[in-house]
Amino acid sequence: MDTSLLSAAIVGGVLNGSLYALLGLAIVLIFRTTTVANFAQGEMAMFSVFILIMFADSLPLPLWGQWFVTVLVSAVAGALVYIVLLRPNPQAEHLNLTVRTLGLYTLIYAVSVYFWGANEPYTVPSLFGDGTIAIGGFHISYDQLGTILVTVVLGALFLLFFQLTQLGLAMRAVAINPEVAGLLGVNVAKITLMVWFIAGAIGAVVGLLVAPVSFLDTLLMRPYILKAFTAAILGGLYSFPGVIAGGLVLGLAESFASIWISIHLREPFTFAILLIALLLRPGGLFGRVHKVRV
Amino acid sequence: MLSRVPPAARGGWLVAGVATLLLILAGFTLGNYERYLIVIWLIYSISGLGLNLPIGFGQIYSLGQGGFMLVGAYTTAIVTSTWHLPYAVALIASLVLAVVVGILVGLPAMRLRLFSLAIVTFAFGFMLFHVVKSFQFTGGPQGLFMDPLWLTDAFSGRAIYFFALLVAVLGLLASYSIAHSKSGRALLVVGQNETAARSLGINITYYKLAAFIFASVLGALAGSIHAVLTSYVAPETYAAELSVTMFAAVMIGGKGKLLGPFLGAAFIVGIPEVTQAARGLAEVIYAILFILVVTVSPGGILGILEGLIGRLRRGSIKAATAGERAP
Repeated sequence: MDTSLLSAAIVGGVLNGSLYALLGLAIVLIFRTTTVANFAQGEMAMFSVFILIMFADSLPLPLWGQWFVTVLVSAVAGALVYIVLLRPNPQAEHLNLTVRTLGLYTLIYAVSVYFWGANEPYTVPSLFGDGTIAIGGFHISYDQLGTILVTVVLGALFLLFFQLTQLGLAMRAVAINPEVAGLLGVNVAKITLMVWFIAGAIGAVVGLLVAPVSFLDTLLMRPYILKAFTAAILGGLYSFPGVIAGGLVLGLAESFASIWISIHLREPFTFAILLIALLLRPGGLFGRVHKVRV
Repeated sequence: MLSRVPPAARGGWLVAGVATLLLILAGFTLGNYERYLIVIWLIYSISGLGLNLPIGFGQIYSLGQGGFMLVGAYTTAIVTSTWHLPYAVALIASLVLAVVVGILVGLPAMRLRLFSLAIVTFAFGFMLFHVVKSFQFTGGPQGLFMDPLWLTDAFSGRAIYFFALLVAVLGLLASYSIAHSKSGRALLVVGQNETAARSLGINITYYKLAAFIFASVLGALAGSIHAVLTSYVAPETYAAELSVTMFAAVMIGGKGKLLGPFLGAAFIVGIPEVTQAARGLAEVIYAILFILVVTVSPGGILGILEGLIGRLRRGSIKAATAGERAP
């Protein structure tokens, strides 16, 4: 295999992998702190892109400003989801709470199809402009480079925030044991609200990065959400570095599968990776099996 | 025998018995479209009954029920229309394949718990959808048109109606006997605390796998009936959304209760039917009602009904005791 094909596969793999990882971060964040698997995370990201091209688009701001507004609105929407959907009947078991996010997934999709489905697909402008640069005889587009850069910076910022800030510490406390965290003076409801706020923002960024490459339609995030969950599970569902590694492993594996085996077998191949990995390590590649007291 | 059945279950049997009688009568009197709708409802109920055992009893979150319906439907289509064999063969082949696939997916998957399991089973359904879409003998993206079967049109469509009803009743009886057997109680313990179950000497993997296979068999049966009803199988019909819908049906109806899947199936078939006039908004209304039911009542529709009945009972007891006290 020649080097240009190889480097294209690596760039493509890292690119997709970093998007899976970022979306997976939002999922793991919510799962760790609230034990809710947010199935609506992908649809929330898709909705954010519609917020950009339907509303933020008309603001007298440069594109990055419109991006910022979109991310902010999406974050507030994420917080609203928590207040409206998950605050009522909080004593319900986590399965019930998760099924509510399945309902939200259905609702966001239905609303988007109702309002915007007729005219899809839409083109979404890229923040990074057209054009490519050559690195060692291999061409990489501004868009690819920008996407990788944004995901790396955002991922790093997130990890630092979680490890080093007061708020991050409180979130970790809630993740380990909400009840004890509450007794120690952490405002659990406020922290959970913040978690949904951040998850909404991360989702919006992922949507905005994906949409310029693959036209915007109501099914935009469907391929990504399953991969993000897969990345999260490969990483052990509880670990942030784990989900990032899981996303990259998945992206690269997929990319090599489509050039070595067949493009059609990409999806089955993803599933095979997941099954084999979990067969060998049920707790995920980086996770540990959580012991439960009887 | 009946005295051993708790009063709540006796009420359930009364409902189930009356409903079956009404459905038998309806089979002779209703028009084609109404009968078609009832068969669709029964198909979802059968599949949901299967799924209710792993979800409701064993806390096994299976999000791949659509995949097993796909197995049943495609097996039925290929056996009857590509190989031109009778439907009975197709039915047996669907069941055998459902068991085989159930074991292949279930053995590794049952080592996982909760949401890891949900995602793995979801990925399984997603993968099957892509597989049937990319192979020639499964008809690719267009799917397969089936030869006309005797069962599809016999007695102006009544044969398939009564067949679906029979399978649903048998599925309910099977679910009941499992739920009230030693295996059902073992599964409940496994669902509540695996470590405790293990310390009681319960073979966890065996019971979890058995529940998963029960779901896959009923799912394949439902898929097979669906293929016969529509005479056509297409990948989109059995896409990953179907798995989500089936999971939702069990949760909306009320998980862990045998009548729950029937109510949940009635919701997912009935609501779009009732709101048809709202056209584009129908989907939105469906989604809002879905969220309302699961948010307001974690016990689903059955939880709401039981709450209402309980309130009525308490009301009548109060009224009766008040009457006694009155001079």
